[in-house]
Amino acid sequence: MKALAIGMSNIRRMLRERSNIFFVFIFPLALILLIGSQFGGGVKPAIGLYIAEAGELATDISDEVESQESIDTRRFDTEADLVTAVERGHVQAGLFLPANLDSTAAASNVVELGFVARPDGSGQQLQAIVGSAIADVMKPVGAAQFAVAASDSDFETANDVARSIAGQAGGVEVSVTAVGEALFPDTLGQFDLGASSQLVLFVFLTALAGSAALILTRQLGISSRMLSTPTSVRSIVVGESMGRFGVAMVQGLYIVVLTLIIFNVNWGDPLASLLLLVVFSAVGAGAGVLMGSVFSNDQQAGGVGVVLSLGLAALGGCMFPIELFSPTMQTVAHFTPHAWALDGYAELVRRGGNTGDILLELGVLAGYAAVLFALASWRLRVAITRP
Amino acid sequence: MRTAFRIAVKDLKLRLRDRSALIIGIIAPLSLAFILNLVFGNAFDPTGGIGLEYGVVDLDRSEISTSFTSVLEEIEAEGILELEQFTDVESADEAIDQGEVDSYFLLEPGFGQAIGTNSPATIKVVGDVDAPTSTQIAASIASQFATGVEAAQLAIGTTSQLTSMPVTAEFLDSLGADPRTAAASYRLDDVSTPTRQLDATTYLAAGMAVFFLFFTVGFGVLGLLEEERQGTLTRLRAAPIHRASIVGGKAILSFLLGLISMFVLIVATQLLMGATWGAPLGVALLVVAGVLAAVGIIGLVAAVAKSPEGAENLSSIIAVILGMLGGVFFQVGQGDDILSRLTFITPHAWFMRGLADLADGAPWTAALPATGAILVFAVVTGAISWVLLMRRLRR
Amino acid sequence: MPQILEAAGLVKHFDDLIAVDGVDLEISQGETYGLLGPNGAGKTTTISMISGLLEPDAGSVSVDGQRITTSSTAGKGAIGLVPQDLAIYPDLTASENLTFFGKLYGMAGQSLGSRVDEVLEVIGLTDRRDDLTGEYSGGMKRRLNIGIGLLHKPQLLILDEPTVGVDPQSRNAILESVENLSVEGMAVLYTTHYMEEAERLCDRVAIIDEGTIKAEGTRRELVSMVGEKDRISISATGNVAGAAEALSSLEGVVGAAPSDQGLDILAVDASRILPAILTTVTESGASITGVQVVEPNLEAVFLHLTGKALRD
Repeated sequence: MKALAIGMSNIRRMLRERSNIFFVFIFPLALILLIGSQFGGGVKPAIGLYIAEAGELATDISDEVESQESIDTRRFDTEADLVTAVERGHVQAGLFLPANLDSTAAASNVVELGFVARPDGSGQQLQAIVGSAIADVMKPVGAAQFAVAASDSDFETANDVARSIAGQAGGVEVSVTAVGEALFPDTLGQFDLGASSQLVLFVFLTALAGSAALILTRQLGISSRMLSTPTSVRSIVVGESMGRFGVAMVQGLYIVVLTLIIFNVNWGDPLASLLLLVVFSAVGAGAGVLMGSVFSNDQQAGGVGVVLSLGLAALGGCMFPIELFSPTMQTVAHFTPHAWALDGYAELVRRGGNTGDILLELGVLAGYAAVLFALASWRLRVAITRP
Repeated sequence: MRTAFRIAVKDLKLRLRDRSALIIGIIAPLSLAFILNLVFGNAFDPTGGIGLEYGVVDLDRSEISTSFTSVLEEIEAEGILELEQFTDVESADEAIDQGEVDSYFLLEPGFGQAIGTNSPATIKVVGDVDAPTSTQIAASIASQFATGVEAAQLAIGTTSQLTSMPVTAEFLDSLGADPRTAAASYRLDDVSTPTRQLDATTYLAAGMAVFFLFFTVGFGVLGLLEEERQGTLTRLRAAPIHRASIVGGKAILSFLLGLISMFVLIVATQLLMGATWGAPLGVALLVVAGVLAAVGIIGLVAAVAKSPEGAENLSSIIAVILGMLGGVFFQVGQGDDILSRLTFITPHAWFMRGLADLADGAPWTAALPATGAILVFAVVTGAISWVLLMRRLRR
Repeated sequence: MPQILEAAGLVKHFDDLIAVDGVDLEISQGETYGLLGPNGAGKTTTISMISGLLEPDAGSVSVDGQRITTSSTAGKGAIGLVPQDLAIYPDLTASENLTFFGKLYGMAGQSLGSRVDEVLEVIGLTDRRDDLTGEYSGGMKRRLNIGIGLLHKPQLLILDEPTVGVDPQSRNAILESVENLSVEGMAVLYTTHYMEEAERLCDRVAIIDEGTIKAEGTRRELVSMVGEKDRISISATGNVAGAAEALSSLEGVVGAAPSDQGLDILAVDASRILPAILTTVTESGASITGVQVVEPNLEAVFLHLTGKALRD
């Protein structure tokens, strides 16, 4: 009961501070929106197109590239403009169609097309998409060139024949299936995965930042004053922990509910999702109380808290998908509670799992919470009973 | 001016002894850049491997299906992926389950037969639910092979029609060339000239440095509010020194702290992480301009905030918004959309652009346009903060 | 009157430093008890042990018959502590602070609400009850600090130097409210290094220095310890410290220490050695502007017991 009073006063103080309102409530949503619009499905990667000379092949290629649904295409008037646009990141890649495409092809020479991309992950994927579009267009050309060599026809006749019979063959289809219950990307909304990463990042960040409130309470002698009342050390430790936990839960639920309403984010099975939030909030709260007990300078705690919460979030896969980590880094990642929480959300969101499917994640996180709380209450006990 | 310097140097000594400034100014950005580099640098480095681990199950064992495996082996030889061959679907599924491979290619019996008879054929890509990106890359590898096969089919069909000969074994032998060469009618050359782009390591190092810069300079100008509360400001005002020396002293302190922190970070990231910041003179110009802009903007905070706590909170909100929008963590915006234009209302974005302009051995002059833009921020915010702070001190 | 506080043989070491060395205190209901001593005498350490914040190395404390330890909550409800530091939340309002601590004392519901209103009235903060205490003036914060200690009507109120750094007006208000408390039957333990406060408020005073209680009793009892000695107050400027030192070795002088005006001297048969005293002072480089032979006060008692001034 007394612990509850201590916890509630923590939450009340947090809500009163205007900068907390920003960092706890406004900023995470803004970031989810920003990242969703940046990396989610809503905005497609853009590719720039420069055509040196109009012609049949140039038209075919540009039509085919522009008809690709997974990318946006923008035309540029000069080669230099396109290069600059790629360098500046205004488009993710550029395709250059040189002059004399038709005559080069007709002379049975290799048609050379230029491609530039930014040296990050999306460049390779764009090259694959553009490459397969071009390959489709160039199939009859290649066939015609082959036929010209193998028969005595001219290129134009061969090209007409090739075009006319293209698509008659059965073709080779590539089908993609996922092992597991559900097909993956189709069911995922634009904000779904980003939202759980941000949730995990911010709940932990806020919990660590909350250590400042505890440090202030100790500095002002309020912790000692609490101890002079008929309140046990245990109640004080539990109360301060409940305060941090409550703040984490308030923020977590806020993010979950608002993203559900505004962005229609899928959080998976409600009960399992809630359990995951509860145990992860407990981990954050434990870490926050531990920091608040170990440090006696809130500025230092703040600096260390930012490093820890952003660093662990990055290592744990909140900023970059863990599946793309090297095997060693994946192992390292699973030393962070973040990675386990994200694994749990992935199970719930991507595969529609329920509580039974995330027992391992819940267990590991509960273990983290238990260890952190044990350490934190030991340190806090020492900190407030020390003169 | 000399008094201002004297005040700044006195405070600088205090700050250098203060662990908080050390943590915010150097330890935090350095360790975060290091961690982020470990995560992102590793992921973006093609030679480090992004961990593409594929399996192949060839149940067809025809000429065409084995050639697919050969293609995969060639890519493996380039070090882009790791390949494991399975004899049956069960063991491949098991390998995905165990996380040994991300996905596997399945060629079912009759694959070669179907292609030979122009019937529909299928390459199956079975991916781990938890490795969508990796699976997508596998699919595009399979598509490229499929396209080659289709080109060959079309070449054979076209030749057959032109020569009015049925597709028989003798006909195929008579072609003289491999029809699969039909897929080689074009080349898509990667002509990327990697200029004006920062490598991932330098991007992260620079991003963290400029992000924390806005916190570091706070240890200077925001100290005015602390002194106001402590009452030491009254003492300074009572002393026979001009108000400009007091404000100037704090501004110089901020500037020096920012400069020291940036210098240490640049040297440290260059030595420890292999960041390449570019032409020293150009970097120096950007850093000086960037620090000035940070002092100006945080000076505004000092001028309007009511209490030291309020100033600290407001400055971290501003630092976080500007940093995020300015792309210190990841590039913001898709080019010329509103968001991309919005990012250039931050000195952070100009700082990053200036460094990008210096990339790949560009001369120091390449940093001039961005430096100019940052100086505009510095002059405008600096002038307003100066006026407001001087007015605040008169009260 | 029944005993409220019984502290016996309290000892506390911090590493090599002996902060409190065998302190005994007994306070009865309705009594205001002063703990007078200079900074660093062990006042706060003693209070911390009495209020269960600090475990004594030896000795025991009981309040209202209940043993007080750091690990148990028993008996703490009978104590109201007003710490020297302002232990209030700056980001909560006065009434929120009161309500919060009231809950920690096990109060709840309507009785808590009406008691909060009462206390706000007593400490004169009813008008500002819903303002954040961070915006309060120093005196208002001090008043709230005391109000929290009073909230649960403790049997023993412990005030640790409540007037340090307070303007004269607020100080007077604080002293007045403490005077009223004993009228209500509350036992008060009041620590201070201001002699005037101890003289004005306390029924009994203990003089503490270097962790031990040098003397204890009513003001009259303590002053009588000074005996037939006279207290000479000299108004002087210049090298008063040097003069005090020189005087200490003068025959007939029990103690000499610099004071607010100049020098405080305790001497046997003042009229006889006064000329010698005045010569010594002038020779030490201090110029005398006035001399008074006054009745001994607690300051003189302290000087008598320790040979040094209460304030240094």
